[in-house]
Amino acid sequence: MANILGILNLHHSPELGPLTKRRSIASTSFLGRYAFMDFMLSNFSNSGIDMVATLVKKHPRSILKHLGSRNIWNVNTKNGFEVIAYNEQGIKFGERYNTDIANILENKWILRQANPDYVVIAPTHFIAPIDFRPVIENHIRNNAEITMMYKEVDNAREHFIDASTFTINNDGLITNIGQNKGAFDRINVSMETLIINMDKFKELLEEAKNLSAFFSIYDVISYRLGLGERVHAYEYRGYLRSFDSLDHYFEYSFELLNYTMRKELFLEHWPIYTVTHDTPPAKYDESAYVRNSFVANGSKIAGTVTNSILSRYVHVLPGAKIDKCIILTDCEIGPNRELEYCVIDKAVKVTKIKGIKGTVDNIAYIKEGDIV
Amino acid sequence: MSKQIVAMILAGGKGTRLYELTKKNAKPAVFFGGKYRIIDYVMSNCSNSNINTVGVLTQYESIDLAGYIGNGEKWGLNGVRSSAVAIAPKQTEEGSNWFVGTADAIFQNIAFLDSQNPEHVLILSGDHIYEMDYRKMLSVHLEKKADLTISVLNVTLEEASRFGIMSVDDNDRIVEFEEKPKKPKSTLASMGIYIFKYKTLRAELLSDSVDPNSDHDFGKNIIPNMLAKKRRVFAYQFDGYWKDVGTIKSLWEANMDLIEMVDEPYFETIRSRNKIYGEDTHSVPHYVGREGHVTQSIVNQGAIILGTVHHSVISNEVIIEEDCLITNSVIMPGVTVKRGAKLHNVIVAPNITIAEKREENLGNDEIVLVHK
Repeated sequence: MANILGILNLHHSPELGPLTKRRSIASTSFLGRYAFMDFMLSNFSNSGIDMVATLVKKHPRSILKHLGSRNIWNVNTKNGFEVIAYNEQGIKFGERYNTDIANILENKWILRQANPDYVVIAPTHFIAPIDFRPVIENHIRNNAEITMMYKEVDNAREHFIDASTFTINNDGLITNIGQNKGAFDRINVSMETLIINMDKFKELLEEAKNLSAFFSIYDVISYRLGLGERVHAYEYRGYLRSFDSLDHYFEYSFELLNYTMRKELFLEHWPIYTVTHDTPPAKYDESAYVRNSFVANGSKIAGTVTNSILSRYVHVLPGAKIDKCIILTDCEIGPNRELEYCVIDKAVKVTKIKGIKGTVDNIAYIKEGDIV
Repeated sequence: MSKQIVAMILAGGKGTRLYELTKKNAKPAVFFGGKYRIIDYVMSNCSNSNINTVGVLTQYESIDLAGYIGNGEKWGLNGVRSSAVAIAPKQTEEGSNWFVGTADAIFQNIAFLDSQNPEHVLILSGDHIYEMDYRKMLSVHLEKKADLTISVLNVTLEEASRFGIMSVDDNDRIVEFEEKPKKPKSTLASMGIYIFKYKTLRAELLSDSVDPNSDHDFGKNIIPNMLAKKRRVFAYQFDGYWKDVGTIKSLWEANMDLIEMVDEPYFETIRSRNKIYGEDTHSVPHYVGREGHVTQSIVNQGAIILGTVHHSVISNEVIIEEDCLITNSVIMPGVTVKRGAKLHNVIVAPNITIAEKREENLGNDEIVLVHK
């Protein structure tokens, strides 16, 4: 039985506009209940990868708040572990030095403790239910040293912009890594997810020093690819979205109001675990009118909510009208207030302003803790 | 290290008047309020009262209940100097015996209590729904230098014959006690919540154990004996919501009461620590569809509501399909109500599938348990 270390790499996380000003996308609320990082951490857990390290680039505050002191994803809490890797190279020497490689080297004890045969590295912003077991089996069968996962998509003119793209030959090897600029509909989009043998990984970490102090893991692999390194490609089929902007956060969240889409992300035997808070069930008053919406526990609804996503403890007072909004934890929407096309951050009270109407191209955002 | 107080929860009952709900389940393990199990209330009360050592005496269908108690983590009882243990009747040098009465259950576990060496013991029943800070009761118990303090509740004269009824003097000292009197002399009823000075309890249990005429019951034997011996027995007046959910009707009523309690300071809950803790399922927030309509109800996460729900309790992983009409009902976890079904004044047992267009109990006032 191989020892596998899972690494959740947050060093290449995109921004979701104002939502990620104070927090990492990893700990940003999704679908009223989850944090984005829950998905990849659950993928590791369900795949039997019980040793996991999260490489934190910035906003450690919000990550620590989510991962905190409880061990949610481990199966065996002695043999498995879930650790946070953070480094201060960026603070000491400048942001360019804050690379995923620098972070791993600063936290080499993790590699020593895990002593893995294989390392699986994945980001948090590609949301997908991934079973790594067949990917790893495939990697071993191919005698591969590096395998990278991709999906063939046909909507690349507007989605996956700036994502890496693979050119793959008939032997299933990657011959070129490019960047999607929206020129084509159909591309092989990189999921920035790789399986790598420990020996190879050590080799790459060592070589990085001689290439550039600013290189990331992907930079080194791209470089090596240019020199003829054999990098295998593994095709993933299934739900995949890259949450790379506030607009896409909005769009892809609402896609999941549709039952068929939901069934593609939330698979029957693939639970997504998250930090739980013993929140009581939601309460509906006599005047509640809710259609096509997600409502998290702790919420109290006395108004109208349509086509929206409500997180925990959202209080919708009588007469309030909420349409096409995402509302984060612990907000109060006052009587007769009207919200449309909004993203409302945590602990906001909408009490004075009559209404806030954004548009599909210009989503209104209210920042955390504000009273408006 | 000796503790001031430990709790012993009597959770061995079968609950025959809950019929199919307790065929394979101990009564305290029955679901309640869309999210909880009945025993979550006393376990949470102990936790919130800073009573961190809890013994749960199990007997009927004890394995599932013991698994649910686990290491007490659900209620925070797994810290240092804390523990929750499920105790089933066991075999010792003296032989093996089932618990024959409430007092006998404690008597058989004197060794456990000796090892904890507490000054006081709190004895609770595992099948009541209420929220209480036992520290208030303990401080009265200490102030009165009581051997035994019984928590009491004012009931109606009609109900009084179902309870242990007592009369008290001006100092709240109990002067008379009658178990289920035909002609009750007062309306002060025992809630089955006792705080004993451990030394006294121990002596009383030992002397009662050798009495061949005794039923080994607190209400029938221990308390009358103590009063006869002029022990210091006091009453603690509780005034709050309390319900014994031993019948289908009372279980339904308690669920309906939960819906009515809309005036509680709901938003204090996010900041307060005094929640009811239980098992948090890893579910998506509940979803209300385009034709769904929910009013005056409680809905837990993981539910999918595509029909009409009024004045009901909907548990996790419940699916209410299109054209359904659910009124005044309690739908337990895992139930699927298929298209067009109509339910009124029912409790639906866990994991049942209600067939399309099935109509159950419409227009009736009597509460019905639907178990197939």
